[in-house]
Amino acid sequence: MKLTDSQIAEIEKYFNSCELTFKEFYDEMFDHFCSEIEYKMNESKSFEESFNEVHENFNSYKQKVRLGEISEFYGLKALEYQQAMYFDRNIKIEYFKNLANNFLTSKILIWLLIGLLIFKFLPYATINFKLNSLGSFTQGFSIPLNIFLAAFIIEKANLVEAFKHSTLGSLFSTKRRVFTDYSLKTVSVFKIVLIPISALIFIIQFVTLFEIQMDKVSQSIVFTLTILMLSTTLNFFIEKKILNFKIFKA
Amino acid sequence: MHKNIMYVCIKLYQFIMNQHLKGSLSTIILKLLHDNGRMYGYEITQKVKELTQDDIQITEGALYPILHKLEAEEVLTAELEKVDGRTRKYYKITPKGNAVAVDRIAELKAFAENLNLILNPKLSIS
Repeated sequence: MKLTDSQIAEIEKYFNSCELTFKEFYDEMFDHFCSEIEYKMNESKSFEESFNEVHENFNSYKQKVRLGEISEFYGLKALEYQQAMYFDRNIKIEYFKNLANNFLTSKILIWLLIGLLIFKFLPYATINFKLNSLGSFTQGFSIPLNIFLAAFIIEKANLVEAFKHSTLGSLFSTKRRVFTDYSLKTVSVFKIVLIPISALIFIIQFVTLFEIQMDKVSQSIVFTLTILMLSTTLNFFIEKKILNFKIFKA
Repeated sequence: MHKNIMYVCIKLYQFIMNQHLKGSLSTIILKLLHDNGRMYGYEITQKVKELTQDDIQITEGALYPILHKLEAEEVLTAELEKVDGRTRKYYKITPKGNAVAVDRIAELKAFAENLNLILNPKLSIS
């Protein structure tokens, strides 16, 4: 038994109320929902009855999350978030595999060469910011800001979304929000961009804090590693391994 | 006291059976896809229902996370197709996933046979 247009519209209304993020997931679930209702209607149930049964079934899922003030997703959103987590984890594994690939294959020769060139030609820089001085404060403030801006350029819409749902974002908003829309892409992209940069910041902070004078060898090693990480990240973006998700815009 | 122990035993049994089903669900899905080529989500639930005569019912909450996980692991690949004005997502085993599927199916088969041997020991005539 085929669904009529008005019945399909009713199902669409329910789906839109779930505020899903991914087009592909939306389509898949929509098809499943409709197929199941059609099947139940073939067993001589009314549309309302079958709709309620399927709806109840879907709404029983829960997924714990930690996104600002959101602690749990329900129903379709929960299923979507689960899928998001699989992809997110996969992206991270892929990233570290790519990174390790540089060490385990003949590519390491190229990186050794780059390291030697840096050692030879880069001027020796002594890092000595004094803690508590104005310089280190600006440094400490501007680096995270730069990261945020970089991520903002890459994934503007998602970051706005992420900000809206964060605890920080809730300070700026006046109305109570329903917890729903959050895109997984933000998380992955954000983390991937953050990995090399935060590694560098960590080293700089470590050096500053303990006032270690870095010799030229370790300095060139740090530079080479940073370039390696950045190039892996760039490779990721060029091959569009991260950006192949279609975002759903209602 | 006796009642409590019984209750705990029953709960434990249910838990173990659920874990069994959960553990073998991905293999069941792989087996179906292996035999039928490509299938979509709802078709899989219907097929399982049909094959087990309504004994095992896979819910969406169990099915889709597994499908998505296998897709993320590149064991399955998906293709979208327009059917009746709706977009349907068909899943298919990848060449890489084929080896995994054959392995897991064989493993589950061996396990089921061993269980069968324990549960229904043949009377041997000596």
